[in-house]
Amino acid sequence: MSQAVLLVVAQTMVLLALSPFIVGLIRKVKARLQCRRGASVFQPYADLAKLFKKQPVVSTTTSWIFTATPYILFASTLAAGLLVPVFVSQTPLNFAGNIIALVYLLALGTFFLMLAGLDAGSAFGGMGSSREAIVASLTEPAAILSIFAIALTTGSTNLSTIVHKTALLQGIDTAPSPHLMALAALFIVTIAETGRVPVDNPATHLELTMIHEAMILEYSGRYLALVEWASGIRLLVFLTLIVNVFAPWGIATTLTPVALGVGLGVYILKVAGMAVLIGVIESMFAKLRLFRVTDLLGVAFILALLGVLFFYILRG
Amino acid sequence: MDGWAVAPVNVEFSSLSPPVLAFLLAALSLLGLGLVAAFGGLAKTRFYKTWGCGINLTPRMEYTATGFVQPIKRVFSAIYQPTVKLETELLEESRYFAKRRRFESRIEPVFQKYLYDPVVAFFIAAADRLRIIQAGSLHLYLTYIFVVLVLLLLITI
Repeated sequence: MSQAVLLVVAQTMVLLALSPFIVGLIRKVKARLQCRRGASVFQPYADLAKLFKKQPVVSTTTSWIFTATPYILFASTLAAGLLVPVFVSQTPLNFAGNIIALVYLLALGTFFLMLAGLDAGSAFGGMGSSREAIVASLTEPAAILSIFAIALTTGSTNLSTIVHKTALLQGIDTAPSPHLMALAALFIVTIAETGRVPVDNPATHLELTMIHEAMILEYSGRYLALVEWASGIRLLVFLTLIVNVFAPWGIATTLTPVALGVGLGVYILKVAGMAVLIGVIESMFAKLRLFRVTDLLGVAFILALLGVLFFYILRG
Repeated sequence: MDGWAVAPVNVEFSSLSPPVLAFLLAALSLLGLGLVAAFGGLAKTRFYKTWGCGINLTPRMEYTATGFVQPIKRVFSAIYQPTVKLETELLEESRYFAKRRRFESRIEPVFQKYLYDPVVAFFIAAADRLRIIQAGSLHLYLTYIFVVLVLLLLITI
């Protein structure tokens, strides 16, 4: 029992500590590709520390939802992160929720963020919420279906079981094509859900193109710090999902100190690799028009659907 | 973890524990509060009006429900078939001034029209037919009870 609690605490610490680094790393990669030196990869830590110390300004027209949302968003995102195996394949909280719980924990945060965007009554917030609503409602079926494609091949919807079996190469009896299609779909979903370039631009404050930034425009001080930290964790959770579901090798399958150390090291390397990839993609593509985003998400949905179909076809 | 999780017959396949998730959410919210207290102290919040590019916001500038669903209406236009009608009556003296404008925007109520309405219509039609046996005559109802009793007796034998 105490071991389980320790593992949960360790996983929380890793998610909290690593997420600003990933955000900083993506910014650094983008800066380098634009021939800039860029800020240090540890800049987001300094940003968070500064935001926490600043005095928050809250609109007089807001309700309790506005001040409660950062905490709800932070808690739901972190709870989602605790359901994903990070550096140990069998998380103690595995029994608490499967992959469907994960998707809807993240959706809970998105829902409250949309309400908070509308709460202040500013047109920007409403615009951001409206756009987030369409993006979220289109990514959700693609996310669920791609995860089902994986769940079918491993025979479980619980992430620890999926990761553990894949890491030990057990029960993978079909050809890898459903996996690859699910991977492509989940990658598109990741980009859309975390507000990355072809869908949204995290570095912009240009009013007419933003989605996520428009919703959080009214936040400042400690509230903004929590929202920013939560979106960093959200990005890390999605990257973790991709690397650990599709390539879990190196993750600690036993609880020996050596395995744990190797698991943590390999995990940081893998996630950092994914962050570099995201940075390169952000530099290579321009942001899509809002109504072209639906095409991209349609592709993700079709890929995931094909993944599920291929599983049944290949099984015969 | 027995008694705390909802799981199908095959526990390997899936399990879910709403109370543990609720506890987790509450605990992590407290962690958020703790982090805020630890990193920044609790600076007093300043209340000020919503930022609106330097102009004073009025309730008319808020996002309306129609505006909010605009992207969904557009993406799923094949299903909802939104129609917009704008009629303008111009002044006779000049074409630049409108005497009267009429704006109409509607979407096809797909679920109401093709899912709920047929079901409701079916039951109303069935009720209309069945009204024949429920004519309001007490003697008739007593006969029904008698017939049902006889039938029940026959069945038990």
